[in-house]
Amino acid sequence: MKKINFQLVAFMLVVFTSTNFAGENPSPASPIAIVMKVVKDVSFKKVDGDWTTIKIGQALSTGDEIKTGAKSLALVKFTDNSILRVRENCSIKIYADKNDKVISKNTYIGKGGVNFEVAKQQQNEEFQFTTPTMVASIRGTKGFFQVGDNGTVLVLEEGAVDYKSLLGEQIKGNVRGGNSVVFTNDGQVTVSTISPQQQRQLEDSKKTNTKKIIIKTNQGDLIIEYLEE
Amino acid sequence: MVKKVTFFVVLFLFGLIPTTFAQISSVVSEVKIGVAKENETLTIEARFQPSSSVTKAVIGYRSFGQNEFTYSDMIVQGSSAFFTIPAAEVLPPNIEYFMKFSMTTGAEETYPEEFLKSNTPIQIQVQGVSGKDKEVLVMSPEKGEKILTEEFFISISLLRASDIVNKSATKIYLDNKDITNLALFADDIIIISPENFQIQLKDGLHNLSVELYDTTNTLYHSVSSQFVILNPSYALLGQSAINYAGDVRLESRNENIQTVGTWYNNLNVNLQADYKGFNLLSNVYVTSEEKKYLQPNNRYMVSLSNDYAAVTVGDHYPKYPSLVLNGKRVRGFSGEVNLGFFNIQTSFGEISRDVEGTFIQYKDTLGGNIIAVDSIKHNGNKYAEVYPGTFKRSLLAIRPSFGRGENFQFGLSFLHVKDETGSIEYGTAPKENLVLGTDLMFGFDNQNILFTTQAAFSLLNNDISQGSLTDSQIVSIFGPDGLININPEDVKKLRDQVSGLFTVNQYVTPLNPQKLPSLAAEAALSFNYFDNYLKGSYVYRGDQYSSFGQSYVRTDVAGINVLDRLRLFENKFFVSLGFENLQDNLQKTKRATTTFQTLNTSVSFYPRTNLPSIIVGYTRLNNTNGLSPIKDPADSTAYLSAIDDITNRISTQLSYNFEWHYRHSVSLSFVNSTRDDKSYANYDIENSSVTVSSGTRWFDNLSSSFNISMNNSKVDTTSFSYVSLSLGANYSMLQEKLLLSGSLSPSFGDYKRTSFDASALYYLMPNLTLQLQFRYLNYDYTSSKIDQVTNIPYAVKAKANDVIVGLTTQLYLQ
Repeated sequence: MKKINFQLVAFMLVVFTSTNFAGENPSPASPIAIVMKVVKDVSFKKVDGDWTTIKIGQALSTGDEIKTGAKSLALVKFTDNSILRVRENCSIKIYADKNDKVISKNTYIGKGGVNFEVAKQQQNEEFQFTTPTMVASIRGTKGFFQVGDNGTVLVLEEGAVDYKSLLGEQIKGNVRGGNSVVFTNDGQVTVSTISPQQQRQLEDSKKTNTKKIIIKTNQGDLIIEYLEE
Repeated sequence: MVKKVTFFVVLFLFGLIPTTFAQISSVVSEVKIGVAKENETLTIEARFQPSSSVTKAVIGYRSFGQNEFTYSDMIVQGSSAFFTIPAAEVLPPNIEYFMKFSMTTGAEETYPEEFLKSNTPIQIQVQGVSGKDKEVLVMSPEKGEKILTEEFFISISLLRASDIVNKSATKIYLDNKDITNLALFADDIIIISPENFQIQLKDGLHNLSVELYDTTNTLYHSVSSQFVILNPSYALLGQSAINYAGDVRLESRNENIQTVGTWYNNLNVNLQADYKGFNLLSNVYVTSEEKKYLQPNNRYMVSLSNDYAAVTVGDHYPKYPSLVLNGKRVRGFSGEVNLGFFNIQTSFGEISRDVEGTFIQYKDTLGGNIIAVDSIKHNGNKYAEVYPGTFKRSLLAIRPSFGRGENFQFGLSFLHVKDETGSIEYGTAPKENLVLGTDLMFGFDNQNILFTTQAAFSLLNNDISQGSLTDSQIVSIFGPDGLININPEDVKKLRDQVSGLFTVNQYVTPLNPQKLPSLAAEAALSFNYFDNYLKGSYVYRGDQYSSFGQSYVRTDVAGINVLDRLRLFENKFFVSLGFENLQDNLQKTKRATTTFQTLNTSVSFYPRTNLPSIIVGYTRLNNTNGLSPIKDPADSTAYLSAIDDITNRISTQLSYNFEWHYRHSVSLSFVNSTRDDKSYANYDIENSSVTVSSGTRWFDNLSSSFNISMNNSKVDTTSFSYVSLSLGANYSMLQEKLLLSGSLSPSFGDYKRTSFDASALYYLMPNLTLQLQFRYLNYDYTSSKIDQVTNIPYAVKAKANDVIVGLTTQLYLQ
């Protein structure tokens, strides 16, 4: 019940901030990102639609959701050249608010891992990530989020991130590349240097190469594609 | 209708009247150059005339404002020589180059042929990076991406496009074919989804172009991006942990030159592979032109590298500080470890192999090409006249350095090059060279402020056949009463200091190293702010500085160089200014000191819209040594040594791409150079050339080009004028499986030549091609050359009908 509340709070926060950005609202169909790569089981849902299988080249607009299954991957590229690598068993929802050539983006990560490469943001522009336990504002950097039952881990490879815990004392702070931040469900925030295990996680989260196996049958070739370990 | 026809007639004639910048050359038939863009590598390929037997090719190139050329060996493969100018050297408004070729006959030629006379290199326009490039983001396929057809789709973001851009008017071209009708325009994104894309793309390289138009439907900006479609079978292989690509090229060519037929057979294999951060590069080139009596024409190389280390074995070009070792082919080993705070690189191998000389006859005394021989082996004869061969020349270089080179680096260089005296029997004057160098760089604010400096000291021994001198020999040779008036103690001291490392005898230069005649040094400070690049540098090159790792350093010169390049209006407008003041006679070994002053100015306009781009340049070179028969009437020989000349060079280049029913590109260049020699020699030179090129893409599978070049030169009292035309076309058929091309290029005037080229390339498989090439040459001309010794012009006559037929097959692996 407590977990549901966290998610509800975060979700409401995202919805609230997304609907209150200053400036013009993009038309509902205005795409802000493209799905560049899909491996195995990836589906998406429009604001008022049902879950459907996603294909490469799919345009994504504000409010669209993506979820991945086991051993699956979705690679999403935004119109400002920012990249998200949505890892297995993950669900995200993207929000955007456009004002002239400035788009402020907010990606809500419900669960799972997301590697990010956020392009340098323009003035008055930002790229936010929200999870049930924190919100992070990024202006151009690389890293990885892992959202689990016990909280959120941010592993920051390069650049700097402003963060705020959504629970407990709602601690605010700033972290630089080479560090990780753990946000727990009780609002605690722990900053430390990246551990070897986190470094491995970070490297693994960047991988998008796949391997293919061809099974030749009488009815033709069956190609099985899977993510490289 | 009449107007339309008239336009094409005019266009055709326009193409026939002025066109390609065709330089006449007895060595080079054609030079292929890619599009020169700021901070992108630029590859230059020189294709040889069939009758050329080039053993070595060297390119000299320089960015605007540099008065000194950077020299490097070109890679000679079969009938071509290649060189890739590093990205850092490709800067607006232009880059200049010339090439020098050594022939099997021992003769040397340049391209352009008149370079030694006119000192006018060829200019290549360099397009500056545009701020507008950032307004278009090709999201997919990314630049240089290798993808499968099934994964191919196009996505373009116009999020950052200017307000004056009409996004819905954007045009998309794939391999010059308009595919805009397949696109879905959705606010800032343009998508051509896999479902909409029904065109079967061939494996290999493709070009995607995007044109933006403003609200008045005027072309606002265009960008292009290349990508590679992978063959599915190879792509599946490539999905393994090892990614690789390669090609195999087999060529067989018959040249019938002046009734003598010769076969040339070449095999070239390139392979590149990546595995977990390791990169493998390899090349093997085997040719029938490999001869034991020449320097090697075959090439082989294997290189393995990652972020921290690299090893290379075979023929390669190690890069050390430019005064020490740069642009020299080494056959051997190079290795480097780059830890950042400490790095080390080393190279060893041979830079020339042993080629035995030829015995002519026995002689009684030593002389020019008369050498001492083993009297036991030669029946008591002590001396023999020979055609001298080439000693095997071995090289060792080491450079430890500290710092990554981003903000700071300090390096120390050591180079030792020595001829192996026992490698051949009939050779004269084996040499040895020692260079010690140091370099330092500081960079601040992402290298927007950059300070670099390097210095090197050299020792050269011009004959080590007799080894180092003993104390008694030194005393007898040196001193006030000896052959060389240098303190014998200084020579002994030098010998002892470099004992075991360097041979010291009377052939060492310098013998007075304490006066630094063999010191070379330079320092530069640059600022790059507010779209203005300002650089000031100082160079000092002693008259006896010599490095066998860098054969082309200009010596006996010192002075300053200042360069300022201003970018205006989003890199559309460049104003460049360079000034250099150098003086020679650093060791006071000449009768008078010559001052070399060069002023370089250039204004460039790259509108990136439907207006022509223009470069206008002016260069003034003023060389004088102050000697004058008028100023020095008492000195009856002053006029013979006087140097007093001024060269003014004006150049204009104009290029224009436009669409009028079809896509056309037209360019015009004009160069005028006048040298006024006020000295006794009165060696005046006038040279002017006008070149116009035009190309038209009539259909997806048909394009044509028309070129004309008019050249007039006058050297001293000898005039030389010619006009070159060229008419060519490319046509593809059988669903682009067969590519046909042909060209006819006649030249008139003092240079009479007609060449006809035809080629048919057929795709046997998507990654396997077979090409048949034919060339016919008829020439009859008299050219003017300069005698390298006497500096006197003389006429060279040539007349022949030549035929070349070649068959080439190429296999690509990805």
